[in-house]
Amino acid sequence: MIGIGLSTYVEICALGPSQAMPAGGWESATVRIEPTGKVTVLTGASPHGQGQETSFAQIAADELGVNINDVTVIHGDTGVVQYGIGTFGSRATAVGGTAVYIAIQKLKEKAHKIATHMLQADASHVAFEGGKYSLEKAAAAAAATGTSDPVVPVGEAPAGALPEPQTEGKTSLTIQDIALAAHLAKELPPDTEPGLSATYFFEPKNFTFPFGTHIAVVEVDRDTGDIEFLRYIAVDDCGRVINPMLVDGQVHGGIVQSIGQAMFEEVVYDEQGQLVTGTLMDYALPRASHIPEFELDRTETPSPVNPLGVKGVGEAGTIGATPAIVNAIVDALAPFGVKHLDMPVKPENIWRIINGH
Amino acid sequence: MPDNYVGKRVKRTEDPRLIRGLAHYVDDIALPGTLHVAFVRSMYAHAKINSIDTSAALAAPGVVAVYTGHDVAEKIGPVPCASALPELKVPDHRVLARDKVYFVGHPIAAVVAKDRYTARDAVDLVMVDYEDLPVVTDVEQATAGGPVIHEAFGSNIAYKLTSGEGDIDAAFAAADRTIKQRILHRRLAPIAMEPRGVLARYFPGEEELTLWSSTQIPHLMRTQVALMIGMPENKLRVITPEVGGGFGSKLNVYAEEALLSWISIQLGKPVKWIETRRENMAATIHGRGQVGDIEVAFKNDGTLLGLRYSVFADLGAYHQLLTPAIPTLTGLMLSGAYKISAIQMNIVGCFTNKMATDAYRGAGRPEATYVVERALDLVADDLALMPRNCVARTSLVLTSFHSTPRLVSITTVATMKQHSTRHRRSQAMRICARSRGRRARKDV
Repeated sequence: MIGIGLSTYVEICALGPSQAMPAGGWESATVRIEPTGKVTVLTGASPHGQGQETSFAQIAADELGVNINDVTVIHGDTGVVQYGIGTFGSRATAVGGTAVYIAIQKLKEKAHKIATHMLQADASHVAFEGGKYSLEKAAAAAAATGTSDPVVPVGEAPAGALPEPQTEGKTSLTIQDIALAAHLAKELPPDTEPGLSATYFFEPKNFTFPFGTHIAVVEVDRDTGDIEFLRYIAVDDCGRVINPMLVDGQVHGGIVQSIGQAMFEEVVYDEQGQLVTGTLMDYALPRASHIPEFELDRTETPSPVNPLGVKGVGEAGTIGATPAIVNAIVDALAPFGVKHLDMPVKPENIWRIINGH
Repeated sequence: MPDNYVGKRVKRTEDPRLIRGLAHYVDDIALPGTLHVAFVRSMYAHAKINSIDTSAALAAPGVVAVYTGHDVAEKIGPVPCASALPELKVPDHRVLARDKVYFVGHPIAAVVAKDRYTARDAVDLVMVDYEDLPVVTDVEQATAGGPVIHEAFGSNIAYKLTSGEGDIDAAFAAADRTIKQRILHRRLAPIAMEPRGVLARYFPGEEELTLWSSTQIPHLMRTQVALMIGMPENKLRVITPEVGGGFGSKLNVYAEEALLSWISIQLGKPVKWIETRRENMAATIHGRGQVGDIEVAFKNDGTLLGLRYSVFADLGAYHQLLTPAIPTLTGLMLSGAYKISAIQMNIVGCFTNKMATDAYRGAGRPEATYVVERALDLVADDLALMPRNCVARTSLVLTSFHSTPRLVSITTVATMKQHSTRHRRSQAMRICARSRGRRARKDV
């Protein structure tokens, strides 16, 4: 007996605006470039298996144009990291990752100012790309020949177009060069704080709203009541994806916990309040053999709530999957007049229905 | 943004240390001179404690100290609940039980010994004289004349809340058809692969404390534990080493974290407690726990007019950090992806003789999707729409990519502000001020 179950959700996550939270809904980040050019990210989020040491390093490496191996993400130590809220409610990347992203933009504003000074150029002629602050072509040519810069618009001070001897011929600086210069603090622009570090506390304007559809196809064994998945298809939209492997992993894990809820798990207290499911011998968790091959797909609709366009995916699996599974089992048993079954739906329940017990 | 890395399947930099067993969890941190804590936990779901005899445990070789609820009642503030709801009943949740126990696993005494085996063995030497009290585990029985758990409240109802949008009575009046279905969201155990664990080390010279805990919220824990034990927040450092999963169960501040911090200060030594799996099942929060009735009003053509979801939320005996708030999150998502003219959610939050429920992956929101998606299948079935899983949905509208169609009780969420936190904080501060005053007098 085969059944098909469908579930479509619009969830609410990336908790959340502080207005809706008991103890702050923002998240924090500090990004600094050490004198040796290594990048340290301190996040107030507290990942515990989600993989943000990797995904936040991806964000930082791309934004700073550095190798990902030069980025270290530090979290979970109140003696080291600025105050943060933590990891829950599918919030770490949408809120904490955004804090990292904006902190980097702040850091780059300062680096740009220092680069402009060191290259003795006009700010508008220095561009950041691939980890380097470079003079634009025309300005570079001017710097190389030592002539005045013809592209400086009339009325703007052409000071940057007159190179000092020590930067003669130099048309670009890496962000690491600038970090070292910022630490040595010998040739900083006037009124510039030494060091290259920025902190940002990001307050989201709203929750995010991921959505998706999960479809389960199950076969129920008429003799034993056993339930087997024939297919499991999930299409989720969690906004912009930083690391597809991590997103897949989150969806996998969430569906597995949904399978647990739909078919196996139940904390049981007896009438005297004794905990009957006190060990893993008594509390049934799904095993690897109970888990189908997942067919995952995605659409990517960037969230307007944060500049990364990220929504969060930590809970989508547990939100989308459970009804799809139960709907499929109920559908399979429709010939027996079944309209509803309570979770966890066990082979025993099904056997009793089929056999009229 | 340049995209050398973002959007790519970059391998997890965390994995090499985890796969090779080189990562450090709380239990991997070994400090010289560490003492180990084991808990005497209630075997009964509801009982009066007539007496606790710790003398045999204290006399056992290797046992350093045994603390009971009365030893710490004036020293450690209540376990915090950060949820604020109108007229919410918040029981006085102490780190160790005093005169009554309210659930199986309720901590009664902490045994401190030179190693964890000695501590565990000495737990069996603590004699607790219990007197059985009537137990209530069923939410409906709890609210319909069953035994009252917290006598001061006069009933087992922690709060009642109705939220919604649209005219629900008009929706049902205009309906061609209605259906009604009871559904159960059983309690689930989050079962992180690594159970909870706490290591506390006090530095008497610096008057600083470092607390290693397997938690999802190090900073919030620092704030709360500092308030609970009356320590300046900036003298307390919370470190979360590797954390082997949480799923919401470690989005909390538990009795053990404050208690071990306090014990370390008393004894001037590092103290460690690593939760056993049995403790994890009994004394770490559970998820879900709703008994609900769905009612749907709809037209013969499948147009949905109204959805009412009335739920008994099984909160357990005490509130942990977010216990009462979790069921309210269900209301936010009850519209699912659909345009439904009126939605109402009625919550009765119930005390039962069980461990607290709280956030478990999804935290109130999976319940909502389950309710609305099951409801739609029931509607389709009632209208004999075939195939049942598709046709009913064709008349429904996905209204927006960036909000749910209806944010049912956003105002409810917005009221979950400082009210309760403030109350708990002032309570904690009063207790701490008292104990500090006593200490100061002794010093003089």
